[in-house]
Amino acid sequence: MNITYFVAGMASGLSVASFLIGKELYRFYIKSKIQEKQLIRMMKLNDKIKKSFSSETAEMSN
Amino acid sequence: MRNRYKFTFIGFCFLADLLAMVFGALIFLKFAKNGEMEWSTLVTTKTIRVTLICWLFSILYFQLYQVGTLFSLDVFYGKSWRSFLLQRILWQTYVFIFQGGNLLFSFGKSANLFQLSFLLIYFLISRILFALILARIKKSTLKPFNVAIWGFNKTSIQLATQLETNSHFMHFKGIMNENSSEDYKSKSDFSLAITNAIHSASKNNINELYIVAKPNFINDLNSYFELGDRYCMRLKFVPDFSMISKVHYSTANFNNFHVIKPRHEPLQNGYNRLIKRMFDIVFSFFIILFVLSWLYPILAFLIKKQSKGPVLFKQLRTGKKNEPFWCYKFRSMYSNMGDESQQARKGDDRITPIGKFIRRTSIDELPQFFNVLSGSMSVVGPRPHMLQHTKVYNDQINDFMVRHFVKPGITGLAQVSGLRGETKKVSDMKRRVKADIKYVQQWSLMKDIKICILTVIVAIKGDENAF
Repeated sequence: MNITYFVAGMASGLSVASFLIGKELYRFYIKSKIQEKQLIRMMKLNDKIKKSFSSETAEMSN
Repeated sequence: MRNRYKFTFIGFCFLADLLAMVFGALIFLKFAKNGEMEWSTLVTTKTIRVTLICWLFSILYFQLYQVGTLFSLDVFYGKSWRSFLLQRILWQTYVFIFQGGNLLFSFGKSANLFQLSFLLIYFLISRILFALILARIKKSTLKPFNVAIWGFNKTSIQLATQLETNSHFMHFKGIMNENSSEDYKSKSDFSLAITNAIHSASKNNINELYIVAKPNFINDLNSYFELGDRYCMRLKFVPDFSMISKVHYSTANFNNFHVIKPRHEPLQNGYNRLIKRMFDIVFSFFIILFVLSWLYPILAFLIKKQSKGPVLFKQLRTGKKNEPFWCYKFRSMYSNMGDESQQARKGDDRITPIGKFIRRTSIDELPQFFNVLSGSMSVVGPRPHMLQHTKVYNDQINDFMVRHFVKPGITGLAQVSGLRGETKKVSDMKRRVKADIKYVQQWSLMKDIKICILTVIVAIKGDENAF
């Protein structure tokens, strides 16, 4: 079998696999980076809501 | 500035891909002329033209180089792959037709192989380069387009995530008041805070400011817009409904009226419905002509031989908009063997020997292509249930009727996801309904084709829930 065919076929396969795996890795990297920020914001919002709730109950008891 | 960079980048991508296609066609021609077999002149003389037409059709169909929307690299990669795949399918079909239906020419020749290898390597390298160029553009932009959000709530956090994910051609500065502990007690406090935020945003060179707040906090939206105009800043108001709606909803504009819907439905678009109907007609016509034309008489003979009764079994089922229709199947059970409304169970003695086979392979559903041709069903969609089952499940599952917003199908997302067969518990049906609603929300022609291919694979492999 001609070695050129083998090399061309392997290069094609590797390119497709690298493209698809790379795409998923990129998506995972971006998602994890952004989700970390989102989580920090959610925690801040949660703290804010808790604070506001506790100050409201304190006002009502007074 | 963001548009200048965006247009240049997208224009560059378009030209690079186009040149790669031309170069790929030249590689094809070089090997086609040197090859041991003779290629048709229709293929070799029009190679570049046909390659480019196929590529242009693909990029237009998938809208690869969109400049009007927020640029997402992830979406760009996905569309690149789909466009390339469609281009190859169109090109191979052309070669197959004009090379006298010879499959060896279509796939097995060196000209095709080297052209394909070149294009695949190009797509890998070019997409890595594009990502690096994008990162470089973002770093080296002298006057970035600054975007910020004011308002700290669930909606603003979700919006920030969206903007941060796709901030290739703009600089997202974050949520301005995310660290503020201020709590606004009255409308006037809130109004003052927004006015101060607009002033401060203008000082910080913000070009676009999103105000995310509950609508009942706003007294006069126009006054804020006017203030934004005065600072030459684009002000956008995003209503925060996170406290009144816990789930995601879809919004749209209808003649300048804001419409809030519980979900996005692509099949509400007339163009999409037309595409689906055309696909249904072509697909069902093809199956009736090439499969049912010879399979029907054979099965009719076997069914009649094994048990008395008609070849086809018809039953009233719930269709689109909750309207009943007659659903046809090959009869797989003995006639007059009790309640027809009872679901088939494993080892059901009502099933005939040929019935067992046609049920396991789903061949019993093939007459439903007549339903598809008549318009009461679709090739892909939620499976239709018996009328009494619809009534029972509608009482138990809140969003059960959403699956009836579209035409029922011969196969569906739930069926290829392993959620077919008997539903012993309500939770089984809930899972199926969830998959059906996901299909209603995410419909696309490609998804329909994918489900059709997966159905064939599932039928060949055999599903343990099919009996």
